[in-house]
Amino acid sequence: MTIPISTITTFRTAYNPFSRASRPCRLFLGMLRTPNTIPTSSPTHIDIQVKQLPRDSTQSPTMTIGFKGGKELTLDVGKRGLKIGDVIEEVSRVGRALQREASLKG
Amino acid sequence: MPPRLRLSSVRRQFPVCQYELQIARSASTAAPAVTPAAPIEQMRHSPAPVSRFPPTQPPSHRNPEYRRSQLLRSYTSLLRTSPLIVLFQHNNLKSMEWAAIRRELTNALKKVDDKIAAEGRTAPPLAPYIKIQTIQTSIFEVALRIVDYFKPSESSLALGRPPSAIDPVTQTSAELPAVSGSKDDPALTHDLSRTAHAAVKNLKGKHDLSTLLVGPVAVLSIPNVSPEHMKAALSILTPKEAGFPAPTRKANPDYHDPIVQNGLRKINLLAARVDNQVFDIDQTKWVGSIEGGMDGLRSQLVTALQSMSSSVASTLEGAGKSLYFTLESRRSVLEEEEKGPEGDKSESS
Repeated sequence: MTIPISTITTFRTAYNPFSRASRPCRLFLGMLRTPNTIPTSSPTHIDIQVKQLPRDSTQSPTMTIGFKGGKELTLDVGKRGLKIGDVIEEVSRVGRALQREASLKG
Repeated sequence: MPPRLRLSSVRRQFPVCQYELQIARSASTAAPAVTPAAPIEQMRHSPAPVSRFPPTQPPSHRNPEYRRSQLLRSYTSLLRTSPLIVLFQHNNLKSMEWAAIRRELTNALKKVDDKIAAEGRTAPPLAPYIKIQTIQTSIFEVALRIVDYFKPSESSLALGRPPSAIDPVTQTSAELPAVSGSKDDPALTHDLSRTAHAAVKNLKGKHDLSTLLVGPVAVLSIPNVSPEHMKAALSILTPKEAGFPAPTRKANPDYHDPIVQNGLRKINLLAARVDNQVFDIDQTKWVGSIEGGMDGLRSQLVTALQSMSSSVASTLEGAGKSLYFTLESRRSVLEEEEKGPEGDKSESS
């Protein structure tokens, strides 16, 4: 399943890289940080902010995805025990709805 | 046409040769028969018996012809030779971006070397040996386990070494290690051996770094614990996360090239491995902030120890002094008390 990357504008995430639960955050980061989304001049630029927690922190990893039109999706990856497939599914569901709306508007 | 080779002359020479040979023999029998002593090396070690495998290719559990086996060997060697390793997460960097980042990195590291040389310190130049490379995380994890957890015992190491003829316990003429051609032999302790595999098999995912080795990971290896070089590298690669200021646009305009900057936005600092210990980002920052490298750290230690010794001496003295003063004051009080009544008595009488 592909993510509608063009509908995403911001991405915030905080995780402890030493915990196993941070895996989806790091993998999702790899899907968003592409040559098309990184340059600020690009139309599909995504503003990415990563906060890495210290090694002994037990805070569960979270991510916040901002979409075009101001919609925000916050996923508590650690508490819900999400995997990378679940994260992609949730994000692309919102993204596809936004894409559909935009196409209907013309 | 007569034959070109004159057979008659050849035949004539033959008995002459035989005669000379006889003379030579009689001369050798005339001389006293002294056999020169064999060199000491030859007496210690006899010529090698037949080996079952080439010395550079001992039987191994992992097939040495596969790329993954050779990668594992290169990773174990990297881990053993570089005590300072910094791990980064990298995402979708283009080859041009990698090239530009590596260029900036080497320039910054050369500057550090020049600075150390200018200060007259004796640290060797490290810039040509510091490399950033992407790794295969699963193979790197195995290499980490082998390097950190596989410690072959002294007896098995001795089994793998060729026995010495002068050692009475293992006296033998064999110079090859007593290793059979089988992969199961416990004397084989190289990184691809079955012994190493069996020793770390149950520790899968137990290493501190194994949870970190997810997704694309790059490794910066420094062959010496040199905080200065690490600081220079981090100020180029992850200036924001590491908290070390990046070179200004005026000082280094190439660094602010969009190719370099776009590449750097896709790199994250993850952790460091310093002398077999795993450090997270804050600890990595601390290591990088050590001024003057290892020499600076040593001088700090020396000053700390010096100040401590003087303070210890004064503390120890202080206890004795205070005891002395207390007793002294008590004595004077007692003396006064003794004197007092007597004085009163003398006054009254």
